[in-house]
Amino acid sequence: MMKNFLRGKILAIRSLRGKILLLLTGTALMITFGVAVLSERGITRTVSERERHAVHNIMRLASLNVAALWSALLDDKILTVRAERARLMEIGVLVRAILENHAQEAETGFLTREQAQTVARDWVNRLPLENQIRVLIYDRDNRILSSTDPGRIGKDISGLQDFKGRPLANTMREESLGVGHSFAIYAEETARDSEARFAYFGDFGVWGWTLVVSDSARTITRQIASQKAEMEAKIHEILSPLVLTRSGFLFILTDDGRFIIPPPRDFLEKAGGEERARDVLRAAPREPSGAEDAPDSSPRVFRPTVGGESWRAESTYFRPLAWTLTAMVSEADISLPARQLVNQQAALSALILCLSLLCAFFFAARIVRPLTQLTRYARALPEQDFLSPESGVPGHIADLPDRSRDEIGLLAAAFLFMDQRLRENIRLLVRETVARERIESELDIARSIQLGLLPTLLPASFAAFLSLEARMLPAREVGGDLYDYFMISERELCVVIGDVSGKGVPAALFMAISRTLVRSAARDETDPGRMMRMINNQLAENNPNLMFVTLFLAILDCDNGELRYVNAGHPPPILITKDGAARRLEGRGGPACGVLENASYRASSVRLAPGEILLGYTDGITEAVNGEGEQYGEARLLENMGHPARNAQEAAVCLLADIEAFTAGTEPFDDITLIAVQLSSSRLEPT
Amino acid sequence: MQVSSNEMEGALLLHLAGQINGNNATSLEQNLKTHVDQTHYRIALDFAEVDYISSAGLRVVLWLAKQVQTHAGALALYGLRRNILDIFEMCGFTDILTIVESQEDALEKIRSTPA
Repeated sequence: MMKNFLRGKILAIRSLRGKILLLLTGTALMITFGVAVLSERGITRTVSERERHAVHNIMRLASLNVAALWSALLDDKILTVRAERARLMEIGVLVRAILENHAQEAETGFLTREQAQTVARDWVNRLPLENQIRVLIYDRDNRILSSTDPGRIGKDISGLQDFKGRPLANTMREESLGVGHSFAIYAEETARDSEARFAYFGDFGVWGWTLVVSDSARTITRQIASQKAEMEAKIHEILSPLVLTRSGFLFILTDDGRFIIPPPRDFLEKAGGEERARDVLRAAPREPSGAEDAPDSSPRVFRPTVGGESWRAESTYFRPLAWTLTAMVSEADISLPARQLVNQQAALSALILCLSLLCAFFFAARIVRPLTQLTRYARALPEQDFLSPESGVPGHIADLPDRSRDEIGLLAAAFLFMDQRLRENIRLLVRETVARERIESELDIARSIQLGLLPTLLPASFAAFLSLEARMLPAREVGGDLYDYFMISERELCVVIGDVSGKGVPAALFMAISRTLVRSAARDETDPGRMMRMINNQLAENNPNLMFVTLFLAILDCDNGELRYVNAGHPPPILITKDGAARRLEGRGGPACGVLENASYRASSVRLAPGEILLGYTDGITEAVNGEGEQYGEARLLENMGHPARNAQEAAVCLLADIEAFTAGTEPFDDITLIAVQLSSSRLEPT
Repeated sequence: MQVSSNEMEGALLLHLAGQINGNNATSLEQNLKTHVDQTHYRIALDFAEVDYISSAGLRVVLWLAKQVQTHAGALALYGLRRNILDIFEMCGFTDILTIVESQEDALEKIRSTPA
């Protein structure tokens, strides 16, 4: 079953149609495959490059955004600090004015210097101020003279340091001496904790005092923090909705491990928890250079593997905020568009291939159909009866040369030509066969007529003392040889053997005439010479073709054995004595009959001894040829007959057997005829 | 069998060669007929190369002799081998036909025949 199926497949491939389809499929596949292989790499590179570029642009955008927001934040911060300074300075200027007023009073002598200082200190101590704002005065010994916080009066502030680690009281006094004021931030120890404070330092050199107006720095810090939070929220708001390519994302990680924009949850899950994700992401290399104000410094690219997936990360470190901005895109996503494009191309190619194969299938069927029709017609040809009038070339075959004008059409035309010639030849052959059969049947009839001319039996009265055997073996259907024997009186037997020139039907007709003439001559004449003259004249009378017949004619007197004979150009017969001695019967009476009118024929005579055999033959015997091309010849004939034979039959049979052995199957070339006569001893001896 | 011809002393010499039998006698007759039709009636037949002649061949020679005789020409056969001559003799045609030894004799015979 399977084998048959396979064989069917192979045959399908061997068919013209299969070959066309196979060729087309092969070509299309090769083209498709070649284009796919050549274009796939290029497409992948181009498309991936585009994706990367998009990611890079987004990174730049994000960096610029962050930088801009940071810059805005910085501006806010400066404004806040300036406003605070202005507030503190306002109070400081006011207090200084009051203090100068008191110092004026002392100058004028309205009050003593000590009285004026005391009034001023009391006034300061009782200044009504907003919650956290404090005013204090310290002298050149760094001791607090006066304070809105009464608990601090008298304390030494030499130990306090500003944020830069300098001794606060001295530094600020010196700085304010120059321009009249300065600002500082410092930490103040309270009972509970230390508190950062922002302070205005004003010099009141008249009394050697330094005026301090301070506010808790927390207000500013809080304000700045809220601004920063606002900025972070804004960044989050702007950047977190960004999706890179497909599943890519942007995240911001601070140096202290806080996510400004966290990676999506599924990424964290893939990474195996937030902590591990953070570890992976921290591995982003910091750029070595990267000036503080260069957020667009070239981003660093690295390729972490998260959850068995390969990612492409691009990261920028933003030093002012100590933030790391990172864009992460899955490598698969980068190559996905390229893959999709290639797949799309492949699908399109496959579709086109299928369509073209379908077309080719039908086209091939169209090409092959005439061949199939021709094949079927050719196979059915032997079953056609070419002679029946209905037989002919069907229309769909006859139209083929006109329908397709290609090689198939030429083949069909050649085939039709062959078909037509075949029909003609077969008709001719049939006609000729019929004619030949007619001729053959006519020849058969002629043969039986010719054989009917030959005598069959001796009269019973002669058979007792006469032994006679005659044979004629025509080389063709009818022969040109003849023999005859008949009684012309009570005791006389006429024996004739002859050979007509040529062969076939003309010879046979001439033979029949000759035989008839012999019989009619025998009725008119008794002398063999005159008989022969009569026969010759009648044959020569009207013989334009110069046909002739050689004749040996003898009249045997059965009482005394006298043989009167005449030989008209015939091979001399042989006499075989009782003892087995063979000799030619010499004596030529005249030329062959039919040629020379009025030719004269001379008869001869011989006496047959008892038991002696007269053997007449035609040249078909002496000219019989064997395989080597040798003729049987007269010498061999005489030698072969040179032994005693009991009667005519024995002599004839012996001769025919020897000739057959000699020729050994070669086709007889000429008619073979012989006649043998013997008078038995019993008939002659009594006389 | 082959036939070649040439003319000499007003006679047409036809040189026959091979076997003259029933199969080629008709073609020989056609061949001779073309010569006769060209009114060549003084003919010498060269039998030197003839191995065998059958009765059909004899008939053709007789036919030629009759054509020549009808047109008051002359025919002579020469160069016959022994076995060929035997056949002519046996059939009794040596009396009817002019058979000589050599080409010279044949030409002489033809010359001496009055036109």
